Amino acid sequence: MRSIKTIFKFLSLKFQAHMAFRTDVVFEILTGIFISAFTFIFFEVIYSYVETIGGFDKGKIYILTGTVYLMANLYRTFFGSGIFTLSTLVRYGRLEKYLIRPLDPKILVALREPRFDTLYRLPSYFALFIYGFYLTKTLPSITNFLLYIISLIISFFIYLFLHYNLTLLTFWIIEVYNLYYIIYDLYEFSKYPEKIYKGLFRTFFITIIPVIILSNYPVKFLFGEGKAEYLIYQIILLTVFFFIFILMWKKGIKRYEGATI
Amino acid sequence: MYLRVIRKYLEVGKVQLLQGFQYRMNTFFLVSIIIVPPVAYFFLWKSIYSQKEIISHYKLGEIITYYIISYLFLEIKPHAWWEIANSIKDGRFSLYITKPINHLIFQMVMAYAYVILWWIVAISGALFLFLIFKNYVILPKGITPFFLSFLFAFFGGIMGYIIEYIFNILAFWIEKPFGLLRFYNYIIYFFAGNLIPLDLLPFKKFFLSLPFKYISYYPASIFIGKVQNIHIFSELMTLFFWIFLFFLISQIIFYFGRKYYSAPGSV
Repeated sequence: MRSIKTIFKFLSLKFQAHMAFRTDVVFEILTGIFISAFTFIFFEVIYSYVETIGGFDKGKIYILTGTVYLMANLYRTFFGSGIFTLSTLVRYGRLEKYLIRPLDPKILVALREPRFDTLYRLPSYFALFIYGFYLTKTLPSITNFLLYIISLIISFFIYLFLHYNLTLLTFWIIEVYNLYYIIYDLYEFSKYPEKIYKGLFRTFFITIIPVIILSNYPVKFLFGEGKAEYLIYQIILLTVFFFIFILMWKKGIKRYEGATI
Repeated sequence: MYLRVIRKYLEVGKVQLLQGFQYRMNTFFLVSIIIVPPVAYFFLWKSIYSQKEIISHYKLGEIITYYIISYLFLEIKPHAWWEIANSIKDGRFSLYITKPINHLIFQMVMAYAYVILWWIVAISGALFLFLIFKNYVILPKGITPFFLSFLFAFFGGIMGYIIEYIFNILAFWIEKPFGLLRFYNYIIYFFAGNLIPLDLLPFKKFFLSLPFKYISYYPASIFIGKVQNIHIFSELMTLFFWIFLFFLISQIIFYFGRKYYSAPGSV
């Protein structure tokens, strides 16, 4: 409980510090609006030629893309920078600063650099999501919506551990931060319906690096197409990634050598 | 005289080149930027083309090649990133004031030298995509379009760098221009035609009249044979005009910015 309080206090202080830079806020809001507008134009052009993509009509695709953007953006806001810059901490030997504090260093490292500026993009992404519902002209039942949220939360943590595990390689490879971009790039696969992917790529991106399911499964639940197996599979993946994470962290910390006094 | 000036910048470039080779593995990881998005677009467009044979005037092979090449051209362009803005903010910029150099050219030479290894990796990534999608991709007819597309991409990259540099030196006045830089990077992605070919967009005349098309849309269009030869010379001249214009703007901003600049700390 005390840990949670400390984390909230820490986040609130970071937010206050962030509020000092108002110019950034304007550009972040604009970035969100433009990303949503570009996505909108992109799909409007495509759907002017075809009716569906991988079984998704225009409304569903906006809900899928909105989901992807919301999830990725929340990740970036709270954990993105902290995890991303772990490689810098290891390279310069400054990680021990976080190892000796009375909070779990795994959480502290991930949460230490929240980027609240990206929060301002959320309303535009949410608008995309809502516009999707407007087009489909159907609202999900409460059960489906709850299942969507549960599936989305699991996806969020799978995404987090995917990033974290890749970044933990920094304990073995000195300069690794570009590896981190791979997951951001692979996220491109989440933006489109699962059905369009075929062959080896499909197998790879559903099992080894499961980026396709991260957004597709929650959206399936939203439209009543979800199955219990999807949730079970997501939980299995989360458990596997979590254990890999714990193992890598332990081994990595053993290898680590500090450089600060 | 001129040789001495050039040698000065070449020396800087040499040092940066060596630095670029220092973390080879890290550079190799970046190849995903070249490979992943075009693969995702491949599946997306393949699914679209399974319902329709031609979209506007693009066939499937042309659109796949377009994405591979346009991503390559966008990503091999060196970036000014935040480094210049950071140096203005934390006072390291003072180091450059006293040196007999043009700050923009100095930074650009460093940036270009640093990405040489990256070019090798990126082109290998694009070749890999050509190999796995060999049944779909189309190659330029002859060496001329191939050469011209890289030529446009090179000068388009210089223009893109100067624009980024301009946003960086706004740090003389704006306390934190990073939001602006991020905003620019998202804008460029769309306006350069990387999300979708510009001639598929509504109001395409507007998008095609902007200079950003030279970063990836125009070179990629030459590569897939969508540009008529008679337009190429005038387009090249237009591109040079834009480079000159942005260079001029950057120098004016730099001139006033340097006067405004006040370094924190002491010598």
